[in-house]
Amino acid sequence: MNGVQISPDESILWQSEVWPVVKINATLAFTWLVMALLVIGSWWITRRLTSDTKIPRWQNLLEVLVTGIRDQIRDVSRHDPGPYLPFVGTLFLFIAVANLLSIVPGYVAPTGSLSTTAALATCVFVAVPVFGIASHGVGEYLKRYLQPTPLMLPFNLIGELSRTLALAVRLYGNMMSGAVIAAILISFVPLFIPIVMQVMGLLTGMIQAYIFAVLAMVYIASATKVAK
Amino acid sequence: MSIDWFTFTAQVINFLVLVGLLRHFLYGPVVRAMQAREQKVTQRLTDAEAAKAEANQQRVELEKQSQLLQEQRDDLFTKAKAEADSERQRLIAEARKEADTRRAHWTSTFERDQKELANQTRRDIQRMGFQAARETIQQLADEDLQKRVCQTFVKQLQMLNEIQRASIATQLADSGNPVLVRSTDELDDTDRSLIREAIHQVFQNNAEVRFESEPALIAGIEMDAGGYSLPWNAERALKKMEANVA
Repeated sequence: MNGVQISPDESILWQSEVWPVVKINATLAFTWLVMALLVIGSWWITRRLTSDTKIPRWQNLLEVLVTGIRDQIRDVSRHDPGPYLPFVGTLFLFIAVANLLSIVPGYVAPTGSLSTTAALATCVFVAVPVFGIASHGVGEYLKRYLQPTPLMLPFNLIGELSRTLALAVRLYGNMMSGAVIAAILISFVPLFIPIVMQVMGLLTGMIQAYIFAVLAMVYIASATKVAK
Repeated sequence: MSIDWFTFTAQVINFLVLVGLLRHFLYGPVVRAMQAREQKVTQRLTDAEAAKAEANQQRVELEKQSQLLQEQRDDLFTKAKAEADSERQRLIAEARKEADTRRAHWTSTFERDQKELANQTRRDIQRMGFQAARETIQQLADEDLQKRVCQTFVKQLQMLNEIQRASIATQLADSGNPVLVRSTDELDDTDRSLIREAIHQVFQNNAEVRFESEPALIAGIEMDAGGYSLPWNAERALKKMEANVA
C-alpha cells in the first residue's frame, strides 16, 4: 500500500479471469487472518477448559473477556446477555483484533475499508429487527415505526438508515484517518511522531471497537424495549 | 471512498461465519465452563453450609454428651468419695474394735498373769515363811520348850468342856485301849506324870497312858484317846495358819 491507496480494497492479491468481479484483496485476506487468529486461538484455549476453581491463565483471559462483554450487554440492555453475546461479542472482538494488529508492519486493518464497515453496519441494521421480532413478534415490532404517530413513519425509517450509515462511516473514518495521518506524518517526520501516532491508533482502534459494539447493542436494546 | 460490493458481500458472509465459529469455539464453551464452575461453587457452598450445620449439630451433641459425662463423673466421684468415707469409717471402727479387744485381752491376760505372779509370790513367801518358822521352832525346841509345850497341852486338856470330857471318857471306857500320847522328843518322867495326872483328873478314870516319840511333830504333843484325838503342836498351828493365809 502506498500513500495513494487509502483503502485496502484497492490492493488486489488475486482476481478471477473468468469473473473479474471475483477478487481477493487485502481487506479479505486480512479479514481471514483475523478470523483465523480468533477461531484458532479460541479453539486452542477452549479445547481443554476446566470447571475447577483453579484454571489456566489463558482460560482466565477468555473468561474475563467474555464476562466483561456480558456485563456490558447487561448494563446496556438490562436483559439476559445470552442471546446477544455471540453477535455483539463478535463485533467487538473482530473490530478490536483487526485494529490492534495495526501494530504489525505490513498489516492493514480491514476496518479501514468502507466495504467492511458497511458490511458490519448492515449486519447490525438487519440484526436490530431480527432481535426485535424474535423477542416479541412482527406486529409488535413494526408498530414501533408508527410511534408516536403514523406520520413519524418516514422519519423513523430515515433515522434507522442514517444511524446505520453513521455507524459504518464512523468506524471507517476513524480507522482510515488514522492510517492516512500516520502515512502523511511519516513523509514529514519520519522519527518518533509516527510511533506516538501508532499508539494513538491502537487506543482509537479499541475505542472504536467498543463504541461500535455498544451502539449495536443500544440499537438492538431499543428495538426489544420498544417491542415491549 | 467507495464500496466494493463483492468485498461487502464477502465481509457480511465472513462476519456471519465468524459469529457462528466463535459461538461454537468461544462463547459456548466458556459460558458453559463458567456456569459449571458457578454450579460447582454453589454446590460446594451448599455442601459447606450443610457440613457446617452438621458440624454444629455434632458439636451441640458432643457438648451435651460431654456435659452428661461430666455429670456422671461428678456423681461417680461423689458416690465413690462417700463409699470411701464410709469404708474408712468402717475400717477405723473395726480397727478400734480390734484394738479394744486386743487391749482388753492383753489387760485381762496381764491382770491374770499379775494375779498369778502375786499368788505364786505369796505362796512362795508363805512357804518360805512357814519353812523358816518350822526350822526356827525345831532349832529352838529344847527342854524348856518341851516343858512349856507340856504345860500348854495340859491347859488345852483342862479347857475341854464337860460334854467333850464325858464323851472321851465313855469312849475310853468302851474301847479299853490305853491313851496314846505322842511327842516330838522323848518326854521325861516329870512331864509324863504331869500329863498322866491331868488325863486322870480330866476324864475321872485311871486309864493307862502310853507315851511315844514322833519327830514329825514340831514342838507339839498329840493325844489319841479311844478314837478321839487332841493334838497340839506347832506344825498343826502352822498348817492351820497356812490354810487361812492361802
